Amino acid sequence: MSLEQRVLEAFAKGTVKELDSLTLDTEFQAIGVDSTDLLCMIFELEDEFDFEIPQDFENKIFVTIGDVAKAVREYVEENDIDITEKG
Amino acid sequence: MSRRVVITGCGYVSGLGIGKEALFSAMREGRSGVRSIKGEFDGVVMTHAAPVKGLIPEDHFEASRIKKELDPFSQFAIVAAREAVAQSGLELSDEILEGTSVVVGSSIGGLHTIEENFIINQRRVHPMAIPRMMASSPVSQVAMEFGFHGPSFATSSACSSAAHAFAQAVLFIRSGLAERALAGGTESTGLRSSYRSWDALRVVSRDACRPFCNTRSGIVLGEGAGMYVLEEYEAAKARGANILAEVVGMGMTSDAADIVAPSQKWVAKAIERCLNDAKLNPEDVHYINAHGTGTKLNDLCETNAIKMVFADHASQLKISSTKPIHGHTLGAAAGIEIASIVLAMNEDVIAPTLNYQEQDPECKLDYVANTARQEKVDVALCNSFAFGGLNAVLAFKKV
Repeated sequence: MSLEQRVLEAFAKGTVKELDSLTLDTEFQAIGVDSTDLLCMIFELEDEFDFEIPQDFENKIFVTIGDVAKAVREYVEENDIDITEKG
Repeated sequence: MSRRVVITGCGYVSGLGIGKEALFSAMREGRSGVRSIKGEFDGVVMTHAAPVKGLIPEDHFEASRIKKELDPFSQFAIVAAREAVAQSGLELSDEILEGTSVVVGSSIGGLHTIEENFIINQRRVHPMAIPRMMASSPVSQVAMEFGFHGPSFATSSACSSAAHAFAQAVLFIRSGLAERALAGGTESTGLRSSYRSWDALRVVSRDACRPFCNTRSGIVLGEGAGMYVLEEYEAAKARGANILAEVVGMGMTSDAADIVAPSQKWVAKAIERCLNDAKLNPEDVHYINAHGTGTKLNDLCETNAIKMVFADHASQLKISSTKPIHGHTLGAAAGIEIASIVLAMNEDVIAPTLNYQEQDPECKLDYVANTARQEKVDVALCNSFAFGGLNAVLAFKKV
């Protein structure tokens, strides 16, 4: 599964929203997602990728789910983190 | 002239099921909701409890709200509050919302959330762990559910948490700081950590909860929530509300003695202060819903305290502990137990003390043993005597 797809699934799990209705272009504001929802998503991402997301992550400006996927991809590549799916 | 406070709505979640009727029918019929929990949790010694029955969270709340914000103890409080508000018939205008306070007691807080985050899954803590577990969470959630803007907070005093919440709400209305309130208690105990903690304290009966009985051997745990709509009397009357009972007094003391054992002097004093506050004579009281936990210590102390305060009238009192019906619900106790007073004053039925086998020569009052009694009740007390010696007694009158 692509990183982007894994981010989408983490978001759906963290906010308990239907995956079918979500795409990388989904804007958070449009679906009523607030800062605590974002924290819940980060929690699922950390679980999914088995890494610690830095404390300032949630301060970045994210308009869409795709923005988050992009930030995760950058973070993973910069820090050379192994994100192979477990099992 | 001082303002009077009345109950105009009530709602419950308990080991008997969801809603008032589940609890009231058990009280009328003298039926227990205590059941076997043997084998449900690893390393738990106690075999019986009265965990909440029939609550499927997704039937009541959005999945996302449950996950983010609602520990079971908050879920219980909201479901009970919804029933109470609906029963009251209050129209929730902006003015009404502004003058409504929420005060809810709980002794521990969101224990499920604590267990999930610190015991079951130790790798990382969910970001919403704190808002979910904090003892004030049910208060905020109830306020948010309806839009209440009056003075609101949680109270905590072990098994007297709900009684103190009730007392505080009454004080707000008496003083004019609020016109009405949602008051009560909630507690979630149906989990491994809780059962193991109570096992360790060795106060749980391996037999049954038998308050005041010679063969009593400890408590049986319950959980749930009891919530009430309290209103200033004249306003309630003016809008044609159905008044369930009037709250006429409160008495509160602190034993300042032992962290678990009760002190007869200060337990009696709480009852006395309540009668004074209510301007009642001992002979005016018909029924007492006792704290009656089923421990050797509490039941003897409570009996002696009642004898001290009521003297000759003690033998005329009807006293029952409904804990064998719904379990000891800790911080929700008075919240659940005031149901017996609403029942008594509106249906002339006194709920029994179940599981009573044999008289204790030191506890010889009328405990309405085993069978509910048809009898008119005009004046009643609700006793709560908590660990740590925090006592609260409330007095009620039929209106």
